[in-house]
Amino acid sequence: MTVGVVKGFEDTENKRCIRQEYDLPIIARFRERKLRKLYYLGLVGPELHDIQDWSQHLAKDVMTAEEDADYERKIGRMHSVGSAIGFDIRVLRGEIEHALLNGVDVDGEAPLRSAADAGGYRFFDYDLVNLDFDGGMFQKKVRSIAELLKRQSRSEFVLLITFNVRHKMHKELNTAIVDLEKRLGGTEDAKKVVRWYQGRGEIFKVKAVVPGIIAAQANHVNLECRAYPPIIYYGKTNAQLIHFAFHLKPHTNVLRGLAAQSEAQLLALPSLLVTRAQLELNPEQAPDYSEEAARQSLAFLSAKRIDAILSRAS
Amino acid sequence: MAPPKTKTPTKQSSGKAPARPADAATAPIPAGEKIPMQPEDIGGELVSLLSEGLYKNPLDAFREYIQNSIDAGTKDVHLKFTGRSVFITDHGRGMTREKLVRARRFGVSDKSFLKDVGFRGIGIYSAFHLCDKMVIRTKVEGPVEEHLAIFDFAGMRKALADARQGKADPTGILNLLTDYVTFETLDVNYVGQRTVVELHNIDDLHYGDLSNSASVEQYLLDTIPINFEPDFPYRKDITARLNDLLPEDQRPIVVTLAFKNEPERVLHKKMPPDLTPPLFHEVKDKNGKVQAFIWGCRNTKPGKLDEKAGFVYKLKGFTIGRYDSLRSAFQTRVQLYPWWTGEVYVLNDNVIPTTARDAFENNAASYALDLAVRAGLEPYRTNAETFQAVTRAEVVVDRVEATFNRLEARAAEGLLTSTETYELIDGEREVQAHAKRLSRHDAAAREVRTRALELHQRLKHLRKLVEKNEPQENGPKSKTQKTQPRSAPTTALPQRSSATPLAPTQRAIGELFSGYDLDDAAQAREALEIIIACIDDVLDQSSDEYRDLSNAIEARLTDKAEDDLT
Repeated sequence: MTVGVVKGFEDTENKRCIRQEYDLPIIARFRERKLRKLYYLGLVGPELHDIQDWSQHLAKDVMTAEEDADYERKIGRMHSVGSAIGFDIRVLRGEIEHALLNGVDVDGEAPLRSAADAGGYRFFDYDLVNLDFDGGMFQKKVRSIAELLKRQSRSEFVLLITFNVRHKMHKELNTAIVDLEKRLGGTEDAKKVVRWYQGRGEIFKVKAVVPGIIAAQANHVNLECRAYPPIIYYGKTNAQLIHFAFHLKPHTNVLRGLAAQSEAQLLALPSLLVTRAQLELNPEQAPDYSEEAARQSLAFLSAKRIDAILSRAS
Repeated sequence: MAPPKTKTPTKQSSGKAPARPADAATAPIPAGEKIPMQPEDIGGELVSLLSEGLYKNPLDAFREYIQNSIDAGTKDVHLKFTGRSVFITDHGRGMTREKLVRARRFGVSDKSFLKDVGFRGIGIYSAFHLCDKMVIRTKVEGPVEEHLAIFDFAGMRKALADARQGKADPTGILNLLTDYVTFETLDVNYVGQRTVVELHNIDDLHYGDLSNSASVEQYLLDTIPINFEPDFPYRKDITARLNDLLPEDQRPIVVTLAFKNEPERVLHKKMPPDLTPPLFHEVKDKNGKVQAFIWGCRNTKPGKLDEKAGFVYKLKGFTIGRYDSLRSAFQTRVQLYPWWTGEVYVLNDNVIPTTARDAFENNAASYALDLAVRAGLEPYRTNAETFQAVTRAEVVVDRVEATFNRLEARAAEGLLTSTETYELIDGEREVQAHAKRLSRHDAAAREVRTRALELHQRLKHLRKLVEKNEPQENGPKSKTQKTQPRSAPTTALPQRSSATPLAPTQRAIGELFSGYDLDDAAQAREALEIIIACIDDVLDQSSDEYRDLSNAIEARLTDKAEDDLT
């Protein structure tokens, strides 16, 4: 039996590039660290492109959520593709946010790798969480991510999040930027950087605020958070998307409360860009950009690969 | 005789004769005219009625789809419950698009009962009331495309309900299955064969039944051909015998259950603990052809099994009926039936199960088979009877042996009381009575019979011991005897026959037969018959005297038999 790209449902070359050239090395390193295959919770899509691309590092039990009007058709196809490549796809019904916020899906079913504590609060235990947020209220997404971090707070895991900023999140983002400026301490350098982001489109604002929000929420539930540089790209019908990757692990007692990356370091993460299936440094970088910091944040890639990414921008 | 000629009708409506051409108005209507049925003449309600009527238990749908999987040659079936959907996946031959379209037919099947489990062409609609949508997704080896048949059961049910309420015209079965079943083909990226039956949006009414992991598992274990659990000690023996008899496509398959948020698990047939090794029996016809194969394991302890008690029919690996169906085969000893667990594999091609798989269709073959199987269960009944008798005897022997052990020590010291001597005699009698019920030829009974004999010998020895002590009563007494109170009873064992003198006018029975030549077999038999008749005339069979006499004769006979042996 051969495994390849399943026809019938479309993928995009940019998304494929991110999965294979950016996420895959992060996942592979994490799998080496865990010394076993990784348990996946996330939004897979009917053709399971991500599962197929990362299959060598994933355990066979995959948990996903589906709420689309074409639900049956999609999960039927997921099962078909999944079982052909040796994966058992389990589905939570309804929006993924519902499962994250409530610990169970709309039918009251819990994810496979989850357990309630004595107080009834349900913790999850996944190694790789992949969320694909397609528009909607920004704050609701943030709330569900915060709840995810709490539910996953007993496990070390990699979190991948993609935001589609097609929908206007103007007000919510501006408020978040103002909060960010306050947290940075109001120095001139900070103001300069924040003003740069305020003068950019929504996608840059999302780039600026999301890592800080996630790191703060993670710290709140005693998770140490390390963010990787975000990637901006265009999807189908020219949707503007931004992809984040984080490595989260429960704090040791010694390091509790100490963030792996400061707010300023998170903001200073370079933004990458994928166009025509090429991963490169975004030509537009905030004033706090430094090549050295960029190289450091991409250290999970080979030196040759980092050179290629950074050189493309020039 | 050739059928009467009829005109080919033009457009006809339900149940009505075709309109006759005006010029034929005066022509005679042909006798025996055949008027074709129209699509709407068979109502769509038939689908609803049959699926609901034939499959009372919603879980029966799983059996129907797994039957199809087995008929497609699969060796494994994977059942997954996730969301409100169920996926039944097999790696059988799969279907081409043409075959898939043919599978939609109702009450018609390409399958044959001789080689397939399902053959009526209805089972595919067994989920009609369970879910809103059923998708059959199938792929044959080779071409990288899968074919889908999508059954919109919710749409069908609504169309039927609307017609019932007068909101729409009645829908014929042909229209129903045409309008609400669609087909499509999708590209895939693998070459292997398989079929998936997807049941989507399980109805609220049935969600509870279908989403209960334990009951689904139990249903599958009770119904589907599934291997024994690995720890079952006789798994290998029974499987080997079944493999010798059953064609490959009727052997157990691997069933995997992935249930919601539970880890995936392979199902194994769980067997009760503490069973004897299997007893096998082949039921053959007069030509020596095997009609059925029985295996059974008995509880190692006396008593009924808590689960899987009795024998159940299996046809092509699937369960037919229930474990208590053959209970009456144990006749007057039905209480021993649940001491067994076993299966009866039917190998007669003429025996056909009902659609509900709760019995066999009534025909000569099934009747003959049932009779033969009931006779075939006799060894199982007698085995349980023997086991029960031996077990009861063992309990008695254990108890009496303990009494002997205790009292022999006392006898050795001359302390045996008369009450205790009767205790010994009664105990020994009880043991002999039990031993008598055990067959001399049954290996299981041998040990008990040996122990009974030993007890008899011990009793004889005690008698001799006591008799030896008797003369000493008038002579010097042992130290121990001296310490006994005067009122202590004698240690002598009762000797009823020779100890009691005869009345002066009474003749000894032996003398009564002085005119008989007891070396002559016929005269000896006649003398014996006279004695037996007289005993029966004089003694009530329930009397103590009769029992004593009977036991005494038996003991003598046993002694004689043992003496002959030694």
